[in-house]
Amino acid sequence: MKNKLRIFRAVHTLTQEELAEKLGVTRHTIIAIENERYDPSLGLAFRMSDLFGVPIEDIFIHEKQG
Amino acid sequence: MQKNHATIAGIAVAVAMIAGIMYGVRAGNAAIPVLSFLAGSGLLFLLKRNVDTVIEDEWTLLVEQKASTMTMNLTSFLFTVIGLFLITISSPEQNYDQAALTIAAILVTLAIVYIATTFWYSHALRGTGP
Repeated sequence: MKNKLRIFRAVHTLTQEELAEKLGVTRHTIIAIENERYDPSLGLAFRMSDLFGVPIEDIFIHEKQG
Repeated sequence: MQKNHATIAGIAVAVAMIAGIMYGVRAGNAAIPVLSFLAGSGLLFLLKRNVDTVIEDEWTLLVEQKASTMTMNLTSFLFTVIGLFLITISSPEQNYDQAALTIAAILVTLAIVYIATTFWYSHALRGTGP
């Protein structure tokens, strides 16, 4: 799944370490999500949505199959 | 406790645990390695629990699960091959019955371990799966 996490992090001038601390996850998780190697859980996606003050679908882009 | 301090303390505990196990094996006392392992594991668990920063989350658990399953599969395969090799060359008349029993025992043990770890990780990752 594509996402704009890197963009939102840059807009809020947060480092990966700072974002990880705010979300209660490790920096490895942020790196994996930004590089689109991992789709986060719904709980973590909601925490990101709350932190940036935007709906989940603004951060994550669902690509319909078929 | 900070992550760096916990890492140093963890290494010290691991070294002490290995030393205890080696001493027990050399002394020929089975209780010492078991006690060393249990005490070391307990201390490592306490250290991990007291770290302030987040060191484990849904992603690291997924990676850990994949890595541990792969390690378990490879290690058990190697032990099986080495075990069967030793059993079949240990006596002049090759003991195929014992080899077959060994394979059966290993398969049963592997199945139990696999089910147990799958259950544990599915519990730990409940609601956080991809």
